[in-house]
Amino acid sequence: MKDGVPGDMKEESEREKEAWLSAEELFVAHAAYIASFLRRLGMPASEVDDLVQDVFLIAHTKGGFTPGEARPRSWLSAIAVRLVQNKRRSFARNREEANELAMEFAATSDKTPGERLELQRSLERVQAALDSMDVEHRATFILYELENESCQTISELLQVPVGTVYSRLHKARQRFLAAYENSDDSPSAGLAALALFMGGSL
Amino acid sequence: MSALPRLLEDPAVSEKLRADLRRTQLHAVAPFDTAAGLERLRAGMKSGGGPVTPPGGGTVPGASWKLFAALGVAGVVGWMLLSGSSESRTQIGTARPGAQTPNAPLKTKLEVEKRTSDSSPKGAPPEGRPSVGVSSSPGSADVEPITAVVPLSAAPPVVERNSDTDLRARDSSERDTNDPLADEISHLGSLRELHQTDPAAAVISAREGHKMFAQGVLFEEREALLILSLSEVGQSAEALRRADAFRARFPRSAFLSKMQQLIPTSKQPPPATP
Repeated sequence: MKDGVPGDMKEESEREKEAWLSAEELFVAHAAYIASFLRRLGMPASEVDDLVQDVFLIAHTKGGFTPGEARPRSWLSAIAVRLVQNKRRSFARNREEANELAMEFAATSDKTPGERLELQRSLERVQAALDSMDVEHRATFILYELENESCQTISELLQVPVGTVYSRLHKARQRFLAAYENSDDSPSAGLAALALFMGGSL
Repeated sequence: MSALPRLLEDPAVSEKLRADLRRTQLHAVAPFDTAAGLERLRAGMKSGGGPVTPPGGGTVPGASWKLFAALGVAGVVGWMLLSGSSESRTQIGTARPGAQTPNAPLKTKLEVEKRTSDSSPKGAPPEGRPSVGVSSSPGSADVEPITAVVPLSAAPPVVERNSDTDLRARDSSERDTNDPLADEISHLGSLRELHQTDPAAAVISAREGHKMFAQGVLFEEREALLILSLSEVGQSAEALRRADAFRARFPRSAFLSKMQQLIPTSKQPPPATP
């Protein structure tokens, strides 16, 4: 594994980078990911199908993916981010919706019920922490931390200066870590809840 | 700036968080009906504007911004009637390299010419089209000036269009006009055609597009066409300035190779010393 990415994923992404891809090829390969990415950005399930169509129509209008530094799905993710920004939506999502989203992601896994539950909790914690951020910080965090794109590439994808990317990433990490530590599942949050139940501090 | 270690690789981050992030990375995709979505996309591509060739080549047949053109024609005719121009010559900015120089007097009159369908470019709709596009608000004072003038004898004729037919055709074949994305995509398709047939009109149309779709997603494509059109009509200084800004903003754009051929950078490399 390199850069936190399994070896076979890295090889495939390198191959993908080299080829020009039409909108249809992009759709077959990445529509499911883009739908999930849009959900992670805070878009409700009822709007995702239409947004996915818009992302790939834009990709089609741009003439498909031209090989470059970014991977195709990062390039598509940047289009998705722009669309979501234009919607100027509030991204508030309650914990129940975050849990439902985590269940969807965990549903694809071939695991025992116990393992699936553990996986779901992992995904819930991360998604709840992501939900603490606005779309710009959330997208920067996802592209850097989870998609392993460089800050230079993110700068080009999102069309913002590199300094802005670093600034957003720094703030995104602070917010993510703070939200993660305060999540209901964390040990410290559990102790705080217990103290409240007992009517005082431990 | 040095590369930041990712949270997944940072030993200072708790193993629990790193494990959660790893799982999130590996389970990034929820169930999705790709087949149904693909069918829908194909239908959308057919109705929205047809195939698009890779950047740097080819034309975009199909979608034309007919309503925009129809409004433009109406605006031009109305402007002419109101202005009472004394000019007797039809002036169109269709300058090609070698035609009028950038120092030609600025003109603000835009007129529709007649053009036979035979001279239409390959892939264009069967009917002719107006050779210019103008602001959709005819009374606006923001009409872009044309900076090159071509004598009437050199300007190709244009077949008059029936705006009612165009609107009906648009209603039946194009996406909902309340969809700004569809409008922007359609505008870009028309702009590509204009760039090939009438670069001066493409300059105007591109600038209008930037105003109308300020929050849009196709700025890069529109700006590239604007720059290339400016170069073709002889507005070299502005083309050069915009090209430099474009290169800085989109260093890996697919349009750069074509731009390099037509527009040199403002920062020329120092001559090689023997």
